[in-house]
Amino acid sequence: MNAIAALAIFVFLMALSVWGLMLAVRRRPPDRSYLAAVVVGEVELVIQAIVALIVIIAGHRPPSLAEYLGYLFVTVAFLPYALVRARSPQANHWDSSVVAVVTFAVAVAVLRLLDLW
Amino acid sequence: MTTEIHRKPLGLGRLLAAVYTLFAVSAGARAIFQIATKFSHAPLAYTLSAVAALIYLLAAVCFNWPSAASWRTAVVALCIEFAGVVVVGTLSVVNSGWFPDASVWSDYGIGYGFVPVVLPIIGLLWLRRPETREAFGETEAETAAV
Repeated sequence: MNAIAALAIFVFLMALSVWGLMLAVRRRPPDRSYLAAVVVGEVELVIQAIVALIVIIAGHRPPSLAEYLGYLFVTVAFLPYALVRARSPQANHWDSSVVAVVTFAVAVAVLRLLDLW
Repeated sequence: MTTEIHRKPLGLGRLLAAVYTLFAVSAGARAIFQIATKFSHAPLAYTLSAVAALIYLLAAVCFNWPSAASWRTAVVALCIEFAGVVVVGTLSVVNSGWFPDASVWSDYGIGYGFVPVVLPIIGLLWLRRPETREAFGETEAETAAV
């Protein structure tokens, strides 16, 4: 796994988490530009997952393949969950905190992926 | 105000619902992986991982679909969760040999930034608020005994 690309995704996700936290503290729901940035983060994660799967199919074997695939699933599945909630018409500043928590959790999962590769 | 109150989920509950869902998915995935690949290595720790995952799942369902029944179920689930963290956390500190491989609750959830021990406390404090009970359709009269 390309460590620099993974670290760049990690930094981007941490920035998203801080941004969400700032919205939550200011009691603001997730706005359009924030949601667009989260979608960009999800696209990065999906590309990372596709590249990882291609390399695995081509023959690379992480020491603990099942665990690796578990974390890979976490990195692509969690942000859409947060986005669906944040886009609901009832969304309020608590949903900003939800997205902040989820992006943080996914950022940690990206580091675990790098570790397990 | 009534329509306002019955919107779901509410305030801090939205965050709790999301965090419990995340814990249900990650603890569940970890438990399935541990039990499927190396159960004999640490049967007690892995069984506890599975129990923890089921409790998180139950709480996640309750927080995502509020009703009087889910309020009561959530209170029981969070009490079990809190007892689990305290008992497993204490046992793992006293004798780490009993838990050769980490579970969600060992060392009071240190592997998860102590979130496992803080989560049920915040959750129970939130559940007992009168506004929360009302939002779950749980009236004071029904819960006088709780």
